[in-house]
Amino acid sequence: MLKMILKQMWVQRKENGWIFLEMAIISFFLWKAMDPIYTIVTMHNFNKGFNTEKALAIDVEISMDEETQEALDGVAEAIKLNPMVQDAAITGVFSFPGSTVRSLYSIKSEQCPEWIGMATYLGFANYAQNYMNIVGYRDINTGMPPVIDAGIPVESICYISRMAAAKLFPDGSNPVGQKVSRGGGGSFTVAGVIEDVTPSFGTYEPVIIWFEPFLEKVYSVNAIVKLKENADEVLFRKSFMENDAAKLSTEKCRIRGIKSFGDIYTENRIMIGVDGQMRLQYILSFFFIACAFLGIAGTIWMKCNSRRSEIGLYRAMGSTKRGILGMFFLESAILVTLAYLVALVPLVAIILGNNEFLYSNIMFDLSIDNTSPYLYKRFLPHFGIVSLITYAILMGTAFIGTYITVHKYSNLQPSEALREE
Amino acid sequence: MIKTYFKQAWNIIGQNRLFSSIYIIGTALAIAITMTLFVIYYVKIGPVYPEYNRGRTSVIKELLIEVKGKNKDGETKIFASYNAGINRFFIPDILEKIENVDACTATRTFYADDIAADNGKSYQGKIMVRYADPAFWKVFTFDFLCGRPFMQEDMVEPPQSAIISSKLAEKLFASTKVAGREITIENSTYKIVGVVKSPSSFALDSYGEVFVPHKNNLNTDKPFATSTAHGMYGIYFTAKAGRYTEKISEDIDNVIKRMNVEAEDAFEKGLAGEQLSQIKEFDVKPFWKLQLDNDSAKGSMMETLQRLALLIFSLLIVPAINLSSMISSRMEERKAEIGVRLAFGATRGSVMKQVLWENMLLTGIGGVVGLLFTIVLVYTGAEWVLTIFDQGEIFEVAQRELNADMLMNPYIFITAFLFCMTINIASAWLPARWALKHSIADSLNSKK
Repeated sequence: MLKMILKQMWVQRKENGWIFLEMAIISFFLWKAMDPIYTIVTMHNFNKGFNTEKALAIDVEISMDEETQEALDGVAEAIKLNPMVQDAAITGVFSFPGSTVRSLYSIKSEQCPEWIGMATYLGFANYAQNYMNIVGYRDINTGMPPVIDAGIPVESICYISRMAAAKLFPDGSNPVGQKVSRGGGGSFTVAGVIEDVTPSFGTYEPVIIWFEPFLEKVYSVNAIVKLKENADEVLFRKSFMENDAAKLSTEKCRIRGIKSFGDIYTENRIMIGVDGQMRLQYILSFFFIACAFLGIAGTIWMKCNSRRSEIGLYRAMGSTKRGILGMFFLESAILVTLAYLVALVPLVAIILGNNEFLYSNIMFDLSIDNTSPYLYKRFLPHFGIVSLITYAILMGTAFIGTYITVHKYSNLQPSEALREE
Repeated sequence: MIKTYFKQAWNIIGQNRLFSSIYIIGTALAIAITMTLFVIYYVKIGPVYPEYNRGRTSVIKELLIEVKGKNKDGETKIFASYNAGINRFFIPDILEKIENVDACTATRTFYADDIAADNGKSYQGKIMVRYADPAFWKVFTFDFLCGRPFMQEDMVEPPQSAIISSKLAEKLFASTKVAGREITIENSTYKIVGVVKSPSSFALDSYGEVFVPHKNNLNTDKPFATSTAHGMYGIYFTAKAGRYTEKISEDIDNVIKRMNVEAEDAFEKGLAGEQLSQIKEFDVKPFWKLQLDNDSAKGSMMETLQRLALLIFSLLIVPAINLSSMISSRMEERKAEIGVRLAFGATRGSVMKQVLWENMLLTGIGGVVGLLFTIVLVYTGAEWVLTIFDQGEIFEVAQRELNADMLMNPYIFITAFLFCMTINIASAWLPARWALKHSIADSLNSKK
């Protein structure tokens, strides 16, 4: 049967040529639309490496003078007294993972004399332990927030992420107790290594955390809060803004608003264009699937129309409706598969040529890294998964399009189909 | 003759419903999505209320400052570099002294949580308040339904005047004639001096529900210098004769370069403290270019245009091939009919015309369906659709609305429609031409 279908396809190569070309182009663009969807969905399901549950950030505008720190301490203490609050701390503005602001510093060590750019988070020295607990960083040994030794001056220590440790200490030595230097001056002793965090949506990068006594040249800071497990977040936000915000605002610091870590993470996603990209890719996918459906349905309908007598003959010779449906299904499947294979060639060439997956207008690191622990970074798993999903969608669409059109013709009575002969 | 072609085409549509439906749906889809793209970019860069001056408006939204200092060995090293908004004193200290600048304004926004009116009514929920000055109303051409724009006498500290949008006026006072009434925002009371026709929140550079005069921020509002260049404002200005942006940009650049040199001299002579701040990157961009730059993660207009071109190509080429495929099959089917027409003396040109007219009719119907679909899609899902390419902005007002003039623009529809019509006709012409190459005998033999 396969041989016969291939022969028929060859005889009708002119008509099949158009649909083949169309399916090849659709395959190319549909793959291109599916790729960012796969990447973004995969990134969305990353382990963020920090805990956003019940954590909130209060936006505080400050004036830059020495009395401000005292006023801020007062704010933090007052927030801690709220019965719904488990812990509170003052930190640099949006200086926690997943936020919309990201500072970068150059860091090096003795083993790594090259400067490495690292996402940097800054806590107030007075609140170092509270900061680690509220953000929920996880020590690689205990899986819990690192415990800062009370005897050490916190301004002299730093915490680095697993990825930062691998870059700064490539010999595999234990980073704890070793020194790292900061571009522009200053050095820190590594007090602990934390699990990797995603500073921005979907990106793992080396991270360093240090603490300073007072933040110079800033106009605002965050008071970050962890609520008790049984506390109602919505209720806290409402009552805080209605009752406490005005009371805690002074000449030195003014409370402007409150957001959950989760909301900030979502804002970050919107700001870098992830949500818009997802919508665009969904629309494009829908468009190409609709075009594939119309193309297949239209072509098969034309074929059925011109092969009425052939269908009649099959029916007269005892072919079942299922048999006729199967014949057309096979023809569609061969067409779609061949067109799809042709479309994969330029895709592979583009991806391997640039050594990165297809650019989706988001500042993700899309370079291929076949040693990465994340599947989406490796060429074969990434390419294979997206190709399978796209192929399955195309085949499904082709089968539906074929079924809808052939179904009518497979019901033809032989006498009706052969009447014109 | 054309009437006959249309009659024939209409009959053929009726006889081949599936073919016609597929053709119309395919065309409608392509036209709808292409038209939606046109609407998105018209709203972003076209002259829409109240940003009718976009064509001659230039924008400076941020600048990069590099901070240097001397290390222990006395060498000058870069300590840090910051990118941020601009000190609003850039306008009196620099921009107003540049030739060919027509009107220039510094503006920024903040969100207020509730607004109370002097009649006891209040509006609960986030509302966008915009700082403005007298020049703001020259750069952005709002329609005043009552009252007047800000004048120099309104620019007092603390600000006491406000201009509100017609929608807010209706909500608070059930009227738009409310000049002279008072509103309270975050414990400050303002006297309303004007009411403007509500802008759309998709014209984000001028959007606000309330406009108040600038309020001094002690941290940032200082005379403009390289060390105080940062602030929280965006600067908008219109050029006098429309196309002087490049010259203006060059003049501003010269002033900034001079300031950098003076700052460095003072630093080297030990007259300017331990740090040297210099303005390193400073872009004056035409409004439309800034929007296109912003739509690219790489900040490049060319990248945005390339992406859009590829997008439009992919949206049009696929339906075009689909149509070519279907027309090719249809022409095969109609070989005998064409043979008869040719045998009775019809020219190949007249048969071609008939095919193209049929195609035009189907494209026309597809165009109308696509147009209706676009209107429904963009109007009902404005926020979902129009923000597809947006990056870097978080808009916190709950509901974003589109003004009618943004959507019902005949130029957008005509351009997108002609675009699709051309592609459709081209996709019919090629297979029709191939089919007409057969001899009359061949064509008549096909249905033996």
